[in-house]
Amino acid sequence: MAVNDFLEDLIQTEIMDIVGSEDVSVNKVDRYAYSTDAFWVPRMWLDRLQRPCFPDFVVHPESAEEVSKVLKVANRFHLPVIPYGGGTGSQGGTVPLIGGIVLDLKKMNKIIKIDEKSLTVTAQTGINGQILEWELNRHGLTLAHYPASEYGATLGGYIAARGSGTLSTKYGKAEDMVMSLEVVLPQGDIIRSLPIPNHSCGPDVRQHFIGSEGTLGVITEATMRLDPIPEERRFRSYLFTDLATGLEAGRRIMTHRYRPCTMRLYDPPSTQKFIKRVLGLDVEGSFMVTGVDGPRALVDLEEAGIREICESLGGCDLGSQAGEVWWKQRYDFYFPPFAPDLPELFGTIESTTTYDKILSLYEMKKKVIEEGYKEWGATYTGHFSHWFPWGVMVYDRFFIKRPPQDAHEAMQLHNMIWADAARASMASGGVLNDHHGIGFKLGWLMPEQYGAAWQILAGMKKMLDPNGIMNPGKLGFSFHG
Amino acid sequence: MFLTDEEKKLTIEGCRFCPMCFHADTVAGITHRETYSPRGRALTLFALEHGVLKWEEPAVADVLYKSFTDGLPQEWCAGHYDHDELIIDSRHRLVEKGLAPEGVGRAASRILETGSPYDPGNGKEVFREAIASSTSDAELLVFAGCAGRSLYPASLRAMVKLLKAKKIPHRFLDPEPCCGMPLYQLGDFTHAAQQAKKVCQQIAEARVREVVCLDADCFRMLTMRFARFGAQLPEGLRVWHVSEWLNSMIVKEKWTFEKRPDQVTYHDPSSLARFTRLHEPPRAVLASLFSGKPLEIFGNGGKAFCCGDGGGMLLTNPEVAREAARRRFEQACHTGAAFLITASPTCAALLSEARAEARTEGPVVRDLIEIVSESV
Repeated sequence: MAVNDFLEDLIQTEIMDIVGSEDVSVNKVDRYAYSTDAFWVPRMWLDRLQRPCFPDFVVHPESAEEVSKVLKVANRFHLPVIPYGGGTGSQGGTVPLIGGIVLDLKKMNKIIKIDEKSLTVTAQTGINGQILEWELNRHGLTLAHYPASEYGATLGGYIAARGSGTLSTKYGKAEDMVMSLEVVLPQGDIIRSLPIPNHSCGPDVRQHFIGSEGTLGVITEATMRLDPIPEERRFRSYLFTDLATGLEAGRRIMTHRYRPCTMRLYDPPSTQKFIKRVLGLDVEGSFMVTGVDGPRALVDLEEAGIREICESLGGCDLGSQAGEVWWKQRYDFYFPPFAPDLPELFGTIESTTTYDKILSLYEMKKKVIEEGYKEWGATYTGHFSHWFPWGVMVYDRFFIKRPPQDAHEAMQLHNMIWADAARASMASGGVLNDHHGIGFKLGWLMPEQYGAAWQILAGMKKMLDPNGIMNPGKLGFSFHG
Repeated sequence: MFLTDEEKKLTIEGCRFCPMCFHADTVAGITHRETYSPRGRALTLFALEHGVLKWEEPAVADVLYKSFTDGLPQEWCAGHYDHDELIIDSRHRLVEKGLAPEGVGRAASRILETGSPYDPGNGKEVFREAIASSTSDAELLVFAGCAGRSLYPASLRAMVKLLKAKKIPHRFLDPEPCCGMPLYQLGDFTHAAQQAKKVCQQIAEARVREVVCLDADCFRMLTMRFARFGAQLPEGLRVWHVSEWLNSMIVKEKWTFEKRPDQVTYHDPSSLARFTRLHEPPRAVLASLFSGKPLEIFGNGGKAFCCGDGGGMLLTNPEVAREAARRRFEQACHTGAAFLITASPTCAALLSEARAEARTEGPVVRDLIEIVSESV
């Protein structure tokens, strides 16, 4: 919604009245900076000098009350509101597709309470992930959520996109860490979910907003479960002859109910490509890093049990060094020039399914990408890094070195690959996405993913946000409520 | 000037979509704005290069001057993109276009007229006393720097006291010109070069063998930037930062001090933390002064946070500089130390001000030379 000058002044006055003149911007420099996130499409769009998706206003509230008032103004003018945390998302979740208000929550960064007895923290959700972690570490505590985006992402982003960190196998995804939430509903009401996550008081209101990507309200405060910084954390790595054996080792470790804090199994192309480049190891097969942490006695026990399973399947123990190096450099993969970047066309098309289906899901997607897009020289790699008691996520990526130069053609090719990859995931018993979210990248496939169950989410959206102001075009919801 | 066109292009392309150092950018943390992060600045520069944004937009100068250029984002960056030189280069373009903020021109005028961007009246007496203590044929020259002369003259007074006590012949440049570091940081390369050459010429005329810089930024300028500005220091001249020089005296001349029992913490000035990598000498000096090992402040060595004056911030955006100092002082408070020592008069000035503003029982702030001088 590109507003005219008259309306812009009118709306700006009202928002300034709420947050102060310093905290509303309509200048082009700010609006340009908020026109993209980490998703390939808006990045490519800017790179190819196409007209960006400019917001009309960039607003920096400091409290839930201010957020509430801004949403009331937005409702009166039917103006889109896009909650914005760190802008690290890869699904286009914060791109202002039709303008409106970008609500940058980073000023809402206060830690309200650290409960060292119950091991919880309550904080405003605009707090930067790394800053929060540093503060918790000062108290001997950790959120234990280490996504690659930690340096830039916010607590609210973790929750709104159902994020996952490198130690999720033991500590869970962001959604598992949420105790309770404060949310500003689209029409301005401020609500709180129940104070604890486990109860017998009907369906869980908290869950309606976890993963809602700013489409159902603005998450303004969260109480999160914490862990003590473990006494010991150790890593080892193993090399398996092939992927299937590595997957079987992982399955046995998890179904024996060991609880590694991390377990990352790389497919043969990743083993060669990434492990050689980043770790300097020249190996073939499937490389696996495992990590265990906690009290020393428990670490000894789990490490021995995991090694026994790996060795029973012919896994070659590579010792601790490679794992330690991986841990130390775990985010390096995501910095330029090590991370994939333009002009290459790439995407992380990860999915999760149960152990009985994971290998066939991987093989099917590899085929869909490499055979379906052979003329573009598409390549496919994957690793398996978030393990559950019942299954595992494949973090798979496609790469096309020389995509079309024309921005429109490039976008069409990108979207076609994504649709094929996502449909392959769903056909194999997987889901559209494991932990990056949906955004507008995958939104259009949500009704297909949910089938008849989609009406529940669509109905909830209609009820909570009748004017359709909250982050339009994301998560599969339409542009008009 | 400091990056080639190709390096600039690669840096813009590397940073423009990368959010990985947001947490390390002090301005981003203070403003909470995407535009004022390394990603936001690089994206702005990309848009400027391609005509999507215009240099004349008022927000452009604000975005490019609100950056500490303190090397910390680069320290965290696995790709080590030189974000700071990219920003300084873009400031130079703003200066050339006459679009730099008012503070830049004001600082340049003051430096050219009075030899310092800070209040020229402040510290005049201390510098006069220093000159009076000079020996004309001394082989050691103390370069007080603008901050040592007129922002935090306590450092200069302490240095003179120490030199007198140890009977070390010394001299100063009179008048002492600004080394040009603030001008370089602010993108005024023409005047930075002019100042650098002036300093070189006066040092050559003084015929000294050693120069001791009280200020970390001056030390960086003399040792790492003079040559790039076409200013050649005399061959064989040894340039020290005062912390290195003190440590060498402790080791070679066997200076000893009665050790103090207080707990102490140390703030690494950005120029020592990342650009010249002088982490150990100041700590070694502290180890000879205090009985306990210094308590390390959160963010230390190469990962030390800027205390506020990086990038000439005090001259263009003093409120941002002061907020950075407040945050750094708060981090020092968490150590529980009785003293917060730093090794640059600019840092000492900002952190002292932060302590006064905080009105708490936080650590007492001292420049390293002050605490040494007190112990003599």
